[in-house]
Amino acid sequence: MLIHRHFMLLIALALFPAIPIALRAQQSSAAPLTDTQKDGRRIFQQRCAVCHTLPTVVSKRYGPALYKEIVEDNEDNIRDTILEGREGLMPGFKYGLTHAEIDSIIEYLKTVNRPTRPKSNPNQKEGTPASAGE
Amino acid sequence: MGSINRFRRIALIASAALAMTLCAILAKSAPQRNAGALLSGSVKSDAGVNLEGVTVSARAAGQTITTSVFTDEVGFYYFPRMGEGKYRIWAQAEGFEAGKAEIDLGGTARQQDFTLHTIKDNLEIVKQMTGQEYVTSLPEDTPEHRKMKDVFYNTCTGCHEPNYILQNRFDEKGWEAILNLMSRVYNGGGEYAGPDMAPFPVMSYYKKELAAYLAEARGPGPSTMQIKLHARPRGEAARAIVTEYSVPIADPDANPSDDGFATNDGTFWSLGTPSALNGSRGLHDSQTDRGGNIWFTTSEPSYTRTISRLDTKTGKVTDIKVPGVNGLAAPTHGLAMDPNGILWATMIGDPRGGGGNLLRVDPATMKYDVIAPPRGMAGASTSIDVDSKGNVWATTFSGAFRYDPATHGFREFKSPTPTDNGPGGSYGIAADRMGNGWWTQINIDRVNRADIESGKTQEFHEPPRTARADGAITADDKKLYELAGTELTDFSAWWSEGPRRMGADKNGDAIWVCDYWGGNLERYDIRTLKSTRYKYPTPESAPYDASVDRNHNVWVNLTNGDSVARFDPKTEQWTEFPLPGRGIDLRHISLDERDGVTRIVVGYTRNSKIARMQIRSTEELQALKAQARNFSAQAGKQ
Repeated sequence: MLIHRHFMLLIALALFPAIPIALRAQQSSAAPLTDTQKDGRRIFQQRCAVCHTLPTVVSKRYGPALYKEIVEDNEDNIRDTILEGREGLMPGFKYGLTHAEIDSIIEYLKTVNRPTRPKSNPNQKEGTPASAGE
Repeated sequence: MGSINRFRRIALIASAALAMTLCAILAKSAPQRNAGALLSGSVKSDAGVNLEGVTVSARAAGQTITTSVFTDEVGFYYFPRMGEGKYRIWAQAEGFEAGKAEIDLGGTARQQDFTLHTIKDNLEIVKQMTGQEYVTSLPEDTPEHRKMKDVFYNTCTGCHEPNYILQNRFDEKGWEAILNLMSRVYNGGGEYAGPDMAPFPVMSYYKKELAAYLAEARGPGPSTMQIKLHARPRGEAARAIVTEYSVPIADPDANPSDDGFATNDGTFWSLGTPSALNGSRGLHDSQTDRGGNIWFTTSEPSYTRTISRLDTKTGKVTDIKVPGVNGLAAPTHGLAMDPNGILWATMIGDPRGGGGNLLRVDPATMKYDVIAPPRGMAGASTSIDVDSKGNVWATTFSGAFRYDPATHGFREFKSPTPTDNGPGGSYGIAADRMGNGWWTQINIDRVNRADIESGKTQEFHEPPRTARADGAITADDKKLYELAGTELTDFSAWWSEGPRRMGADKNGDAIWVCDYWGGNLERYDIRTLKSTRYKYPTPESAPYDASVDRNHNVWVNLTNGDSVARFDPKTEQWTEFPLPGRGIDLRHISLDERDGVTRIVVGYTRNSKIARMQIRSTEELQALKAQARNFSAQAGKQ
């Protein structure tokens, strides 16, 4: 039942030639994250990822991708948006996240590279068919 | 000659005596040589009260396998003997901060006690709650509250657990923004359809009322929720031992984490309910092979994973990728093992990537075959089972099919009440011991049966359930929900029982169906075709799938409870066994009874973990307690 819609989406996306887009979305810079940044990543993934990342490798994103170029030198705006939300589009998190938690999200986002399109399938390995199938 | 014989007899007796002595020595020393160290301890509250049913977990440093046990009636826990080394240990109970320790387990035994600090702030306690606890705690004191509770439960908890939603606190406008998004997200797959899609009608119709209800319960002001925590495990449930295997996320390149595993996998309850995103969702059905390793399917699109093997000794996961579309791995859903030890899975998604086919995997060689139904026959969709003769049964969008591996023949069976391939499509399936197939249609409350002899199908329409909102439902409400079973609806109707997945008693005359919304386990007698309904005692637990053990007990995974439960048909008694994680979203249950011991295997579909549970005997636990007492006594003398 639930799979049907999933299947239809896969069909639609299969017809679209650029499926493997933004696979590396939300990929962090190479430097190890601080504890604060790790907390921010966990909270971001738990509370924000539903809109700001791709739900699956073939899905649409609801909100904008967030990465360091958007956040750096724009921390106050980002913080305000997280706290207050955007009418009809995004809830304000001022009742559910502490200021420290929101700051940790911002610190994490400052480590995130802009999403890029990988040139090829990053993990091209396949199993062994017993035969050509039936 | 006689002296030689006497000498031989003496030599023989001496040899036998020596062998027996050696055996006795070895038997005595063997357990100590191989058994590892004993870890035990007590758990008390900061008020000095012994705490029963506390979940205590241990994981060796650098390992991906976690073992959990529960404290007994006097607040003591006992792990089985474990290998020496460094361990992280933690103790958790709702309403208390987790106790944590790092120890170096060496020698013969180690005692590690915990004192858990009481959490006084309800806003912190709720973070630890299961979906069942959240829903049960939502207000239903007025007709309007009951109506919105029904709308929330029926509409918003079919794809993800309630605690994922309700861990948030938003004002009315915030909840409306959430509903704006979710009214354009497909059921099941969870994909956002885009702004041009017409929103699902139920969510749009109730948006203002539902947002107001949620903002009262989980918003800026004092909460209308009356927190009702589930009792901690005791007795037999507290004798369970759970082994959890962390499974690496499928596409680590696309999903940031330090070590290739989910950043929050539900281990620590106070972190709140994890998201299924960022690669942690996908692991679906799991099945133990004859060698004791556990295989699992992956239902989400990935580049690497169609079906995978978990080595239960090392925790290592080996993926098999069956090519799908555009470089993706073909996704899979249902998984079962036939009498010859061969694994069978349903392939889902784009037909050009294998969707609708059967996947046959030989665990011994790890080689696979893709088997397509004949052209014109509906493809496999969700669930799978194997009958005693080795025939493979799979659901399709229009009913079910049976595949005979011996003849390579397919037989198709249509549901008597056709659907539009939408939400009313087939969901769970089971093959009874007479060789007949049964399947459910979740959104139109049908259980179907195919008679293999006549080829005919018949349906059983489950009677409607009582809604909380009965008396407050208007004609317009009913009209809206009469769309149930079509493409237009969000999920279930007020009256929907929601027969989801099912299991057959392979040694008995019963099929057991889980009513997801209604909270029932329903027994169908395969000979008389009569049904009997058994209510699960804890409401909103969401029974999802059933598997029947060799003693005819029915094991059910409770999706909202983060737990499994056993129903004994002889006594009609339930026993619930909580699992150590939160937000784990159990969608399948299987049993491993290879050596006569019943082990329950479940996949955490949102958390990328697999758990295996078994119940320790009282004798086994008593032996551990005796050993721990000896250790304490010796330590006291030193």
